[in-house]
Parts: sequence; structure tokens; C-alpha cells
Amino acid sequence: MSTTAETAAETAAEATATATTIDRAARPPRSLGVAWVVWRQHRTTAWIALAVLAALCAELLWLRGAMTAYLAEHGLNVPCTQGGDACAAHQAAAEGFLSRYSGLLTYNGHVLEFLPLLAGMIVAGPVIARELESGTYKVVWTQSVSPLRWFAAKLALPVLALLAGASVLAAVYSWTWSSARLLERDWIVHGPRWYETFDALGPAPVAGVLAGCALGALAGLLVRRTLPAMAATAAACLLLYWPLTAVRPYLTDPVTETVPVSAGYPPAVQAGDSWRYERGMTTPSGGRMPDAGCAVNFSIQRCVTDHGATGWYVDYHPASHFRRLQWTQAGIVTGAAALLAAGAVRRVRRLSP
Amino acid sequence: MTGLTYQPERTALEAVGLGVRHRRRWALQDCSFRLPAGRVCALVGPNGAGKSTLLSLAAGLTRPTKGSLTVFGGRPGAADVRPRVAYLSQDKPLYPQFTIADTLRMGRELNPGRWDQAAAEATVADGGLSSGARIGDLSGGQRTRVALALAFGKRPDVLLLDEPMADLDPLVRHEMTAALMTQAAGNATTVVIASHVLAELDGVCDYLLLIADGRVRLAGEVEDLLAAHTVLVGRHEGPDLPREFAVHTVVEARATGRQLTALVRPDGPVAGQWRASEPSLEELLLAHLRTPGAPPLLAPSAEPRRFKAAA
Repeated sequence: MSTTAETAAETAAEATATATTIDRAARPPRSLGVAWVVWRQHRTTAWIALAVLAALCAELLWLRGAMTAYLAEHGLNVPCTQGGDACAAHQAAAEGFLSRYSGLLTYNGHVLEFLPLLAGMIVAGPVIARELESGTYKVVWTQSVSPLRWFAAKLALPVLALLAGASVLAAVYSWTWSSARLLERDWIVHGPRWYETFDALGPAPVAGVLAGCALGALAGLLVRRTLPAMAATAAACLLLYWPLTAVRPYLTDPVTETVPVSAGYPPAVQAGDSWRYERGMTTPSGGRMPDAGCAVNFSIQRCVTDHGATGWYVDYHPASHFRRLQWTQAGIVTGAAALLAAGAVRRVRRLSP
Repeated sequence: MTGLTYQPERTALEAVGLGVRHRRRWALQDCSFRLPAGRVCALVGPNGAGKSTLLSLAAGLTRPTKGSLTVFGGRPGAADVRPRVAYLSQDKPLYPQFTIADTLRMGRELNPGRWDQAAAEATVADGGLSSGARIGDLSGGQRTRVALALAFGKRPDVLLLDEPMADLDPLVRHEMTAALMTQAAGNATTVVIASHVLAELDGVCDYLLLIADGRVRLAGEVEDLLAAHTVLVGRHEGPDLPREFAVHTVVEARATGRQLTALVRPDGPVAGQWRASEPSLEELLLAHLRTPGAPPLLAPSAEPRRFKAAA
């Protein structure tokens, strides 16, 4: 009797043991590898960044709502046709729009323009250089996972998050900005022109963030100290931004408008939505002489006779060139990002045998 | 002297003509030695001798400038070697914002298929640490314990420890040494402990690697190295060494009044009126550390095999 009881107890114990084993085997702890470590390290930053993104989007959507409401309320959606007092009121409303919203829109544009720099600094400092500075890379690099795989995950996660955030923000900004770009003929209701807020529109901030991240990774690996790496990234970003802005008008062929000298006045530099980036005189030999040659206080006529000019020319990009310019620049910036990333990978290979 | 006979066995670490240059200075130069698997090896040398450089080479964090160092016959840092090596660097870096549980989870995530959660947790629990504590709030000694737990959890075949006990109080040092020895014995782990605290090595290590000025001075079984040396004490006057010492290798000789104490590697019986005794590990190490010019000695088990084959 007692033997039977013992056997039964044993069987029960065995069954429990088997059950536990099966239970454990059935629920293996989810393994995410390096990605988990990267997420655990940067999750606070990620939540803060997400909150900032949400706040910026909300603010931009509010701005769009406010702008469209203003335009509808003051009848700015259609041009003034009556003339006289009605048009004066119209004009005043348009100016009110400018003073209220144009500045706000410009500031929001600046936030997007500085996004690549910010992304680069985050990657350079907290993501890469801090590991090297504090020596924690020694712990990670001596586990079973190779340094190159660690580096890939370390970069991929923040970069994907930053790209997603930049894409959302750029899309919302572009949408908000487009609502202020309604009437371009006799009066001006607009925010910053497309060529003034070029780096905040379309794919530009997204490509910029990609290049910023690659630059940050390389700077972090080269400088190896958190704050200097962030400073170096900021400096390099600003340095690279300058030639990019300088070559922008030449990324695609401009439209050239010429006016004979007999017209008396050169073509206007400001004209609606087209980006007039260079104006000057043509010489008899067919050469060009940009504006810089003329002193400000000279009369135009004297300037023309002094240089023996035959006419005026102005190079410009109409608004229809926007997309072509945007994508060409995005292509160049992405190419630069690829080069910088290749440099960073080379650097990791050199650092780890 | 049976220990000196050549025993074929697996090799954990093997260096041949190893050299590492940091900027203009050679941190290691022309190092050749072999560490058989399963030993607990003391890596001894003065500050700046190249101990840390050697360990970081074996861990796959540094590249040799000249020569080679292999771990179980493979390049350190290679995909098949990396999982078998655990390394604890001198500064014991861990992520300060992680909790202990996070740190152990990191070990699991980064060592798939190898991680021993129970061993790691036991090491932490023995120190009375709760798994929810943040690394940044721990004392130096507690952090060392977590770093050791991370190393144990990897179930390494080679455990490289760079000054592991430096910031532990004597009691904890004793406990950690015991934990280390249990781990090493239970899994036949090869352990290399770099230290300049001679007291923490005696009785723990059965193998010795002494390096100074980036070169190997002594390498081999502790027993064999001790047996190969003799302390001679006797009366002697005059500035020169006694004539009967000429056939032996004198590592160090110190005169106090008329008494001369010398540590020699005898080559045959010593003539004359000398009291001979086997040195202690500390005497052996101190004599070699004080006399950097003494000729190096490698026990047969510590001679690199590839080097032999080439010669």
C-alpha cells in the first residue's frame, strides 16, 4: 500500500518536473540579440524624441489649421477683383497673414533644417563615442557577437528611428507650408518661398538626417570622446552645408531671361515663385558680367555705358524645377552618406581585429 | 622533477614572437610562451609591463604589431574563438543606467546558445545584490561582482581577468577567489589573472607568467619554476660573487654584512658551505622583478610548439 503511494507520489513529482521543463521549453525567453541592448541603452532618449516629435507635429497641424482658417475668413483664397477699398482691405489682410504666420513657419523650417545636425550629434556622442570613451565597448566586443554586427545594430536602430521621425516631420511641415502658398500674383500671401525653405521640404531633411547620422558615426569613431565628437560633428555639418548651398542653383539647368539694354530697366530680382539667383549684363563679346560689377549708387544707365553692355540677363529656377532640384540634392547627400558610412565601417574593422 | 617532462596537452594561449607597439613604445616585445589549457595562470609584472596589453590581445581587442597570439589555435576575435573567451578589463566598464537584471539579460542576448543564467545569477546573489539595483549605484566591489557574473555566465573556456580583485576588501576578495576557483574547477576553465598583488595569487595559481618591460621573464608551472631555483645563504666577503657560483645562473645576490643571500638556478650540485632551500613564490617573483637583466626561463610546458616546429 505504502509502496503504491510512494510510486504515485514519485510519478506525480516526475510529472511536475516534466511539466516545468516543458513549460520552460515552450516559452523560451524572447531573444532579440544586440537590438535589445541598443533599445535598452537608448530607450529614454527614444521616448523623449518621440514626445518632441509629437509636439512639433501637433504644433504644425495647429499652424496649418490657423492659417487656412485665416485665409478663408478674410477671403484670401481668391484674388481681389473689385478694386478700390475692397482690395485695400484684402491687401491689409494679406499683410496681417504675413506678420502673424510667416515668421512662425520660418522658425519651424529652421527646426527641420537643423535636424541633420541634431541627428549627427546624437549618433556621434551618446550612441558611438560614449561607448568608446567609457570603455563599455570592451564588454560588448568580448561577448559572442562580433563588433561589426554590434556596430550595425547600434547604428541601424537609431538611424531608422531618426529617418522615420524626420520623414513624418518633413511631410507634416511640407503640408503645412503648402497651405500658405496660395496666391502669387498681385499680392503676396506666402510663407518662406520654396527656395528659402528648401532644406526643410520634401526629401531634403530625410536625406540630410541620413548623411548627418553617417557623419556622426564616423566622427564618434574617430574622436572617441562624447562632447568633442558632438562638437566635431556639428562643425563638419555646418562646413558641408555651405558648399551644398553654393552649388544648389547649378544642380539643374536654369531658365535664362534676356532683356535688351534699350528696355531701360533690368529684369526684377523678385518675381513671384521663381528663384532668381543671378542677374547681370551681357557684353558685346557674348560674355556675362554678374551684378557684382555695378556699384549700388550708380545710375543703371551709367553702369551699362561703362561696361559697354548689350543687354540684361537673369538666371532663374521656376517653381516647376523644385522637384528636380530636391531629388538631385537628395541623391548627392545620400551618396555622401554612403561614403561616410563606408568610412565608419572601415574604422570599426580597424578598431576591432 | 616529473613536472618538467614534456606532456602533450591542449594549448589555451600561445604566443610566438609577439610584439605590440603603442605609438613609439613597445608594450610587448618578442614574447613567446605557451599556456596549456585548464591551468590557473598568474600574469605578473610591474606596472606598465604589458600585462593589460597581453590580455586585451587575447580578448581580441588589440591587434599585434608583430608575431602572433593564438587562443585555442585560432585568432583572438575570430567567430569561433570569441564565444569561448571571457574578459574582464581593469576598469570593469558596465552600462551605469542598466540594472543588474538588465546586465545579465545583455549577457544572454549577446551570447545566444551559450549563456548560463543560473551561474550568473548565483554569483550575483552570493553577494547579496538584488537584481533590480542599478549598476551606477553599486560600489566598486559590487560592480566587480556583476562583471564577474557576466564573465561566468558566458561559460568561457578561457577567462581573462585584468586586476580583478584590486578594488575588493580582503573578505570579498577571499569570497570572489573561492567563487572563481569553483567556476574554474567545475568547467575546466583556463584562467589568466593579471595582478601585481602577489599575496592574492599564492595558493590559487598553478601556472606563472612573469613579464617585465614587455618581455617574458618566467613561464611555466609554479612547482617547476620553484624547483628550478634555490636560495643559497652563507658567509661571503668581497664585492665579487663566490667563484663556485660561476657554473650556475645567479638571478639575484644580496649581501647583508658578511652574509650573502642569493637566488640561483643551480646547474648541478652547489659546492661550498651554503644553506640551500627552495624559494617561496613571493621570493622568486621579487628576485626577478628586482633584477630585470636576469636571463628568462621557460619551462618545457611553456615553450610554444609552433616555435619548436619552426626551429
